[in-house]
Amino acid sequence: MLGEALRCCETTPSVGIRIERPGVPAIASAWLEEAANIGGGLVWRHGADGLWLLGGSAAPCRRAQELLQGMGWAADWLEFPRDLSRVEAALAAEPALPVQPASAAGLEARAAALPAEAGHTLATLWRMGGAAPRLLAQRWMADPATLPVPPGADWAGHAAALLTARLLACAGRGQWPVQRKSNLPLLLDLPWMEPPALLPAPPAGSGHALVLPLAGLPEAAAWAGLAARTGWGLAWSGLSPCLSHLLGSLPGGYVFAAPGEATGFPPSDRLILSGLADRTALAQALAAGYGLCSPIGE
Amino acid sequence: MNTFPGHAALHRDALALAAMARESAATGVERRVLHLKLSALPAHLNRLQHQRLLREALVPLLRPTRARLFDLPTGDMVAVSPPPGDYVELVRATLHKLVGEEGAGCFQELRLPQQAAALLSLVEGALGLADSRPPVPMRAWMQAPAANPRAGEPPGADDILAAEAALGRADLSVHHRWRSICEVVDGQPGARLLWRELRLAEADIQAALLPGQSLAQTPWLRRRLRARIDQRALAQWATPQELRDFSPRGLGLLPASVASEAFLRLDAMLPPACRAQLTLGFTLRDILADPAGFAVARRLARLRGYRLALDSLDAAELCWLPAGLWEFDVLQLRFGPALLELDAAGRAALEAALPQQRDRVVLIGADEPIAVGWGWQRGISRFQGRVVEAR
Repeated sequence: MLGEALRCCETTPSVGIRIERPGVPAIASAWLEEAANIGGGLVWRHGADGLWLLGGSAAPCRRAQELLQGMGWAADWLEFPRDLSRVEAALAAEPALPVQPASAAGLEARAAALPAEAGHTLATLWRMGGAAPRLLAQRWMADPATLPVPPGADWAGHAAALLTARLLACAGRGQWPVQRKSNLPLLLDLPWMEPPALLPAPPAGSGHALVLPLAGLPEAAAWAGLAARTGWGLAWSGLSPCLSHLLGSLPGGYVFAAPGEATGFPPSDRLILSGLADRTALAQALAAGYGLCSPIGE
Repeated sequence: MNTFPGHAALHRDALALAAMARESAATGVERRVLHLKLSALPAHLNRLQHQRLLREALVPLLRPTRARLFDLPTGDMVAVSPPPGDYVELVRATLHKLVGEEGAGCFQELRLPQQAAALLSLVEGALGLADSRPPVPMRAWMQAPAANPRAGEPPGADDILAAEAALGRADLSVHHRWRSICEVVDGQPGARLLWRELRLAEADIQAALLPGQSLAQTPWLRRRLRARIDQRALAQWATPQELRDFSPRGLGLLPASVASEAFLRLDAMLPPACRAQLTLGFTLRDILADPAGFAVARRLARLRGYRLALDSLDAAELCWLPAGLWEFDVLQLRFGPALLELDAAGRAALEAALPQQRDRVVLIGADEPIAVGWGWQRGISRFQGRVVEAR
């Protein structure tokens, strides 16, 4: 199919579109498919180098490009055969075939079969203070890599909930992570769930907090009461630029956001960029006073 | 002339047939399918000349209509005819004559979209993709379950997968709940209908799919099922019949559903004037659970000219809203006793949170006259509930 499309691009004047990935949702792909259905061409999904529409007609491609650009997604316009070399370069760098996506069937049984020590990970919160980083706390959370699921936030969220149930069971038995530093507060990551009747008490020390997803905000009062009764504070995860107005009003302490979204927030010492941060995110964190959260060992 | 397709063409046919089944399930377009299980014919009835004869017997079905014939790698043939499929019976009778009683069981008729799942599993089998594990048990839609062996237990991933399979064949029309948004002006009799809101009775659908099981403790699974319900409903709405008598309306969706292919299909069918009369409603809970999806949905709605509504907002949630209300066109505030019990500070906070243009506010759940009185006191004249329905 691809060979045929390339031959067509080589011999017939036609156009195309290229969209950067990742971060572009399925609807972008659907728009390219629609343009291909109307005006011909092939939608080619390249592992790392984006999504391509090859050998299409001008009018439907132009409409797809306008829609994509209206959403704020960069869409390169390609003219064939002139831009064929770009496709060939991407072809030369084509990655290995993607691995078979995991299945959701039997997810609970797979989670239950994991060894007791598996399924969770520890990360460190730190902030640049002068020349050296200052450690703020440690964050104990589910490790999604141990329980593969099909793509999509829903399965990932459910898998995290299953792993967190094991993590809470460990905490209930007083089994804290081996690499925990007793002089640092421990932040315990909870999934989106109803406030339970009982929570394990935190370890000795102060400043420990439950990290709740923002989806739990409507139950904030119930969570705050439960956390206070058992000796925990509150922190929040999943802040996005469109919810940045919450930064000042959320009860509790730290608020976690993804490093890629750092540009959408005001300066704040509550905000922690969580995940692997690149140089830009590090520079932003330093300038705006954000903390960073990285897995131990990375 | 060689009338028998090659190996690659057989695979192409099988994939095209699967795509057609999926499309029919998604759009609700009806088709009649005749499956010729040649692989199950006795050997003495399945020689080359028999296959030619059977192929020729299909001609009355294929020629005058837009029916298509698909050859599967197993040697089976599948003819798909658009409705009314007048020739299916004729062809079936001819085939019966050709193979007699001995091969009579080798012809199966299916109807799309109702039996799309059966057709898909047939194609999977032909491609050698059939799962060796026993299939997930499925119930016919709305068939009263004798007893759910997992009733009382929290649902797991397998339950959701089975529910999704059942949902794929479901007609959700019975779960549509229309509610009218009306303008009721103080001192004027009657109510003026502004638009109608369509909601799906999610709890009823869940009860039909997972009898005796509650999704309260598994919110991600609830959201997964809700997304599938949205997509099934969107596919049902994206039909010419549904859109023929389009009137101003509102749909309650998950933000992520707006970026789904099912919504895109609906979007492609709606002319700009209709899009401007369609209000997409999201709850604050769903926005908080998926802010990235909401950001995409909001941009897409603006780009394509839809109206946006913040749906079913409780008074207690007003404090979590941004100053500009994310530029929502409509704020649907739920009336409840908590609103009547607000103290002076609470009333001031409410006043500050509500948009100055009160025609952007709809008081929903106005089931008692006191709700309308409360709304009028705050300059609200748009209501939904039993009181306005009665007018």
